[in-house]
Amino acid sequence: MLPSGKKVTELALKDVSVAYKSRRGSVLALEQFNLRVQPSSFVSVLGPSGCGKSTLVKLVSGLLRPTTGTIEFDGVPASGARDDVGVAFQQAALLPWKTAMENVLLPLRLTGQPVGPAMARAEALFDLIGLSAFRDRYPFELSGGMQQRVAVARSLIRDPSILVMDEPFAALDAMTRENMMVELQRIWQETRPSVLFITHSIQEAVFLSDRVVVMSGRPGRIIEDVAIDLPRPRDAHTLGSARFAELTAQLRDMFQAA
Amino acid sequence: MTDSAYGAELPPWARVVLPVVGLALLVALWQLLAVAVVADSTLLPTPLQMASNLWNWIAGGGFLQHLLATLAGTLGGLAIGASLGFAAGVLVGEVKALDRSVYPMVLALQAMPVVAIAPLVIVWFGIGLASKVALVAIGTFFVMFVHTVSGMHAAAAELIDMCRAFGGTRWRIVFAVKVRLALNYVFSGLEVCAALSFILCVVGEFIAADNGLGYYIKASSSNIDAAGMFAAVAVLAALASLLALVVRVAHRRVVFWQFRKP
Amino acid sequence: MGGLSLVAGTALRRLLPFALLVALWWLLVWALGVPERLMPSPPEVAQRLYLGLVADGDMWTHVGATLRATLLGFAIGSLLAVAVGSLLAMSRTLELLCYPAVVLIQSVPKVAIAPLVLLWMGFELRSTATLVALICFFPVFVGTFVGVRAAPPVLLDLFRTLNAGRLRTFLHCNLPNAAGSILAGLQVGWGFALVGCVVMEFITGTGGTGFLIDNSANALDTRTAVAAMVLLGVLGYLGGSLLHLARRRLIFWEGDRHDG
Repeated sequence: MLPSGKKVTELALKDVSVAYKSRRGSVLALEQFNLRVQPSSFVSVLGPSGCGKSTLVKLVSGLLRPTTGTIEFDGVPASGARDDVGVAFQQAALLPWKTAMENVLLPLRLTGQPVGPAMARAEALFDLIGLSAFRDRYPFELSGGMQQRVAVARSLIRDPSILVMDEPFAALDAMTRENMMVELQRIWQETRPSVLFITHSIQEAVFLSDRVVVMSGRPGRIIEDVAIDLPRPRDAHTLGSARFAELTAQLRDMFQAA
Repeated sequence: MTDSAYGAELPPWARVVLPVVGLALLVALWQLLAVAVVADSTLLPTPLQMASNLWNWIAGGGFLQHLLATLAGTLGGLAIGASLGFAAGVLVGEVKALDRSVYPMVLALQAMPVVAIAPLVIVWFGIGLASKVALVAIGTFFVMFVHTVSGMHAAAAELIDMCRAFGGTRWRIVFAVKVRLALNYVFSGLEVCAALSFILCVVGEFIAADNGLGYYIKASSSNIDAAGMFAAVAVLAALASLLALVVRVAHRRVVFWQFRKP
Repeated sequence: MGGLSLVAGTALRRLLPFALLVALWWLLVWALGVPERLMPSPPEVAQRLYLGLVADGDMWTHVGATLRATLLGFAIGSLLAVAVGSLLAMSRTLELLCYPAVVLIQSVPKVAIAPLVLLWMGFELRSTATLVALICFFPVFVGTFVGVRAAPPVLLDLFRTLNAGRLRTFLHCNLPNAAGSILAGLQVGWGFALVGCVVMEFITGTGGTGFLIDNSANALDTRTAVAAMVLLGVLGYLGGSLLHLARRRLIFWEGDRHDG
């Protein structure tokens, strides 16, 4: 069991605009964007390509500063990368010369934190992702899905109160995606960080989230905010339920209209 | 975004200004070393002294004899060695029996630096242009040979099958398809040869010659004339760069499809 | 037991081209009636090698001199090249500032300044080592620069989200990622290093395999000259093989790559 009673955080983007310089002048990726992620809630962002989803990830993970507006953690404006934010990218981005365990412990080593106390948590995480037998394997010995699971474990090693995930299952095949989706739900139940989950899969968004936010094309704006009232914990059975089908159909219509 | 890993995003004018500043700093450093540290113009001339010496030498005329001697040795040897190496490479690349036997033998020879045979070449061809040309030819032959055979190996088999299906004699296929595909390797080999040819010619001139830029450099060393050496080295650098540039441009022209941006 | 015959088999396959080469050499010298003053035959060279390495042992000082100068120069030149390459790769500002210097170093054929180095540093080991360092600097520099810059952007992003500073990112991301490229540069550099050493030994005439080749060729003692060339080839091969092995070991995650 992972430690409970940890700090929970509310994430808020207030009037955020991001402008990129391109050859044709300034391009607005996001315009007057407002989003609130309540503590311990799972929010998915759904949107077409180029709507600014990746920009959101870069903003929250500290890779990008907003041109205007603020990003607030519990009401305090943030600047740069934070220790309480875990990030998972589209690619697993594991260091090929380090074992899976060493990769999971990387955030601690890089921030100068002692590794000893975290070993228990690391081992628990490997149990959680079902890869305990592969702790000392190198990334080239693991499949794409396994590498992505290790990346998710890495994002959780510092017990973040906020987790940002940028289409982490996009590079996987359909069956692995479905498995990973169910796994992630299970993992989240145990640790319950606030999650901002970017995807273009409606099924993923509905299955995983408490809320689904639908974005429009560039410049990115929120056009719908749907509450997902499916009961938790969710599993493979949820996928076959009538309510699930209703919600996915509803979102599909909204998505087409976007 | 990832640019910040290598420093803050630089303004566009910096791409021109910084190298110029760097060049100025380099010349300033040189001047400082020449005047304050070495303080002996026979060992290290100042930039100005070197420039004027170079100018006098070029204008004076003694320069021409050495320049032509080096050029003759370098370009003559390159022409012979590269063309023979290419021809041999095509032949060996195409004839399986030769490929299996000759190619590994040549690869085995690669461990020894080719400059080492220079004294032996002098024994064979005596002092003068012939030995320079021979040395350059031998060195460039092996480089071109290896690169050409590599290129032939790399030529895609499917294309050849396709060609066969459409008819055509064997050697026609070889030239139409395989050689074209191998051209990228051949030109890479030529770029290496361009640099190697000057190196070999200069070394040949070091150990036994009575003219040429290499000879001049060695002679200036004996006369403790650093300015003379600098001048000859500068001319040599200019020539080598020019040849390298010509070959690279030819490479891009002939093998244009390799460099097209998607 | 199967493993032993595998190793023996590989060794034999490796040696076969050399054996064929020697056979071809012997055949040509014999068939064309080449006089010894132009080219010795393999048994004559073998005899000279035996004399020089075992019986008399007079060649060992020269092998030692070449090894000392080459290793010293190679070590210094490579360390400098990795340092400078890393610095320039990690800072766009430094890269642009040093660009003219790099172009200058690249355009001058390093062997051409051998007499200059001789003039400045005299006839001792240090001038040979200096030329070796200068000549192997560039390929190692390029290997380092290209390798460090080639760190995958997603990994660099990862390090930024973890607030790792430039030094930490360099040590834990750019450098390990560049190891393959650096080793490739070292392999090229080793070949260049031997060239530099031999050329310097040609003109200093104080010792080493280069001196041996030049001096004996002058005296029409082609046996010794070719014997020295063989020794040089062995040095080149050993260094190259060691580096190749090091590359396979260190860059274990890239699997079996076949490149020169």
